[in-house]
Amino acid sequence: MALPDITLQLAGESGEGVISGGDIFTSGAGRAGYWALTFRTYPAEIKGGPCMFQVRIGANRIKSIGNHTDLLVCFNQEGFDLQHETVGPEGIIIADAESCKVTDEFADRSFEVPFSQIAEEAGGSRRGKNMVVVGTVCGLLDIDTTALEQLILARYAHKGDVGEANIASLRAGGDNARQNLPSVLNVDKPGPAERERILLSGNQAIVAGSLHAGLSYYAGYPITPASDILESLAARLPRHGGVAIQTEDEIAALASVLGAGYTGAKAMTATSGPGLSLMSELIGLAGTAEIPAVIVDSMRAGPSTGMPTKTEQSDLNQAVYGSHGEAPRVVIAPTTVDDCLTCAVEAFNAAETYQVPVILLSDQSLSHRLETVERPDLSEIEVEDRLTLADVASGNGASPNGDGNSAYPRYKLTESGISPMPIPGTPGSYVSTGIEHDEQGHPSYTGEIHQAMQDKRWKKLDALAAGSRVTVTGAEKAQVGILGWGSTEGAAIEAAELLAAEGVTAATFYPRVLCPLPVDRIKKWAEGMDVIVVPEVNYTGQFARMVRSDCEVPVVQLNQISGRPFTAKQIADFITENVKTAAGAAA
Amino acid sequence: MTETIVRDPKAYKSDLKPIWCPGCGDFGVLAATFRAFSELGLDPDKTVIVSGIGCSGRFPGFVTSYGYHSVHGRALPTAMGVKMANPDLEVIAVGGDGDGFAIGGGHFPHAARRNIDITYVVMNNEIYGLTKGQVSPTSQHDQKSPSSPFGNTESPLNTMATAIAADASFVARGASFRAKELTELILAGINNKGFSFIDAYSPCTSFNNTTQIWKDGVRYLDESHDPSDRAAAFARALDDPMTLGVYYKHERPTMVDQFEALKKAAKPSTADELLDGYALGLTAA
Repeated sequence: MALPDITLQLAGESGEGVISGGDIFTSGAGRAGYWALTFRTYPAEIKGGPCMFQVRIGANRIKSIGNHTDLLVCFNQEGFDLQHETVGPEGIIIADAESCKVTDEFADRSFEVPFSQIAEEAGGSRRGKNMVVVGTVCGLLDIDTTALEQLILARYAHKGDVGEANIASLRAGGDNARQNLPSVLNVDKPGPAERERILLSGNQAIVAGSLHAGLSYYAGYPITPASDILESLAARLPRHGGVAIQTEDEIAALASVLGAGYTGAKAMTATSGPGLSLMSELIGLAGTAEIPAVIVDSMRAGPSTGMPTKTEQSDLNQAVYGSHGEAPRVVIAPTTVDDCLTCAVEAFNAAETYQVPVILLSDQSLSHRLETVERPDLSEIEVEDRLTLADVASGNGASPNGDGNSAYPRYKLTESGISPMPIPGTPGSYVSTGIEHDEQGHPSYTGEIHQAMQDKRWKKLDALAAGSRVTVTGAEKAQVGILGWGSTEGAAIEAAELLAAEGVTAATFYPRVLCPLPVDRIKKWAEGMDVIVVPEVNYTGQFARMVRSDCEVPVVQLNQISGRPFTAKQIADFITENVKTAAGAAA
Repeated sequence: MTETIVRDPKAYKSDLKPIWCPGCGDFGVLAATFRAFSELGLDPDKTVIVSGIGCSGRFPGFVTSYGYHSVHGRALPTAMGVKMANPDLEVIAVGGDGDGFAIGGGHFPHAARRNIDITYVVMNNEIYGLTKGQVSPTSQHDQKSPSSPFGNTESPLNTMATAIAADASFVARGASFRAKELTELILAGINNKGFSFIDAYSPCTSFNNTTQIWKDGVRYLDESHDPSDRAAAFARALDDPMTLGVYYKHERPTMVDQFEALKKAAKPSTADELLDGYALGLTAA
């Protein structure tokens, strides 16, 4: 019987081509019509150390990393030792014949293949080992390699005969699998694509979204897992008429982004938790001086240096509450790779519309996973620009300058709290400042002014709290509601499907904007749920606490900090074991 | 500047009254700035003054141009963002010795290295004035203050030598009480294409009154000094940093020049074209 999808793992040593092999397999499978979603771990060390590439492919869109490994390929003994526990009860192992021995429990569902030897014979080099692995997998699963071979040729076009040698290794791996391995694993064949699909990572989607939104100034400091945004924009931004600068630290990055935002540019920086900590003071300035800015935080396991290459959702508190005083900001969390693109545009739109800093919370697993998605139609994704003084230029009290007149009332108290922003280079000069100020931007420390200005800065966001995007699955009334944020959504939706198969009704609710939180809508949805579970890849349950305090909704926390994303089964099992009975007893 | 509208120095003076103490050197720096702006005919709507925090941080509020009062120590990276986002603007960063060389010290060499086309004027009073008199990175060794009750155990930073070491494009020392010369230095700094650094002695009359010592002590660089000679400039800075004048000049392509050239050479693109690359499955960066 063919499975609707399968989860493949390649495990070995960094430097053996595990990741590049996995990448090229994923691209090839994608071009052969399969949907894919990857997950990878790699060591924080520069050279060496164990690494693993996981990809789940299937005939329909893949939402999460997969509950267990259906096919594990071990490049070496350590690959087996570290990963065999993820193999499902019917999972298959293919081990490198030269370097890996499986344990007895896998004796009847494992096969040995001399990867390096096949590579040497077919392609003339043992370095083709990873291509033999990819060929073996394609042979076993009966995946057509035409598209893959084209990709290999294109990718190694500048490296002489390497492409041809790799194709020879790939084919030899496939031939060996078809001749010597039993047909033990089948996956449904994909149908024809209804819409054009693309395969990209969360960070690549953020780059695309930011360019669509009109990004023209980027500054950043290298940090895992956000460095590829800096690298990508350093290469791309001049083509879009903008600049990308590697700064001396994250403070300089955000300071310069705010300088550019003040000047009228759409500006962005990207970092991870440690960098966001350094930026905290400037987030307060941006909130107070009302300067648009987008800050991407691709979260990794903390605290401190933590586990820099592993995923976690532990910067929510920092994003929502970080910085001294009470500084307004917007926090947006994308849930999938294509959502990263949409949310990046929405982040710029919110920054521009409300003249606030916006933090876009991705995480390592989302930033670096490759995911097949339907190609977004950019013409349908609206781009918004800030209200400038020039937009409202007539009769607004703007003073011509150079004659000692009072400054233009940049921080004018308006109904919406949004004041037209003069752009340097055009009339309306004023001083942008983090010091408490009156409408002219002049320093003022009276209680009345402070109250009025905090009212202005916070009430701007009311419209966003009422109108932000939310995705909901399931019925209005359900036995279990899964309420979450960010990259756990796919696993939550699949968990609801698993629960449905067991006769438990479940619904999911994922707000994109976490600050300001859509409190009223969460409360209303919660009324229909017997019990609510909040799954988070963090230790303390940061979002669960926020929901309890802001929405006054009781929730059950599900937390894990393994450095890996949730699987659907983890969420479903937790609900089955702990929550269903509690809900049943309560009813 | 494309326009040459003549503006009186007073045209740059806002109606906010400076909060500085009587006799504060910052008044002199502000007045010199007005005169330099006037001579250059700068348009206040096309000029941005960026500051950090400290007595000097309030400087932009006293000028009719655009201003940006950032957080402590971050005037230089902020000014970079302003200049790189709109190279047509004239951008001046101002600050104090604490703002620029303690909390913001990490940014100084990088602004110089990048050769951002801005002018950076430091009002150096060798003390923290706003917080009432603690020692700063330019305070003298053995100097007593509320935070160094037994005398400063640290030695002062030689800002001239630091700037020359970082290859700042224009390095000069001025003084608030030498109005004409300071005006000329600010003017020359703005006219210099590149990162211009002017360290202006600006005495604090409340917490470190060096007015008389500096008035008596400052000298001018010999006319024979060649600012294009980096070694000579460095030697001069090490030998006697209390000397006023232009120590060093090194004109070279600015950060703006380099990025504008990159933009010009680049083939224009769209976000959709970026997605085309992913549609082909060529996912490598």
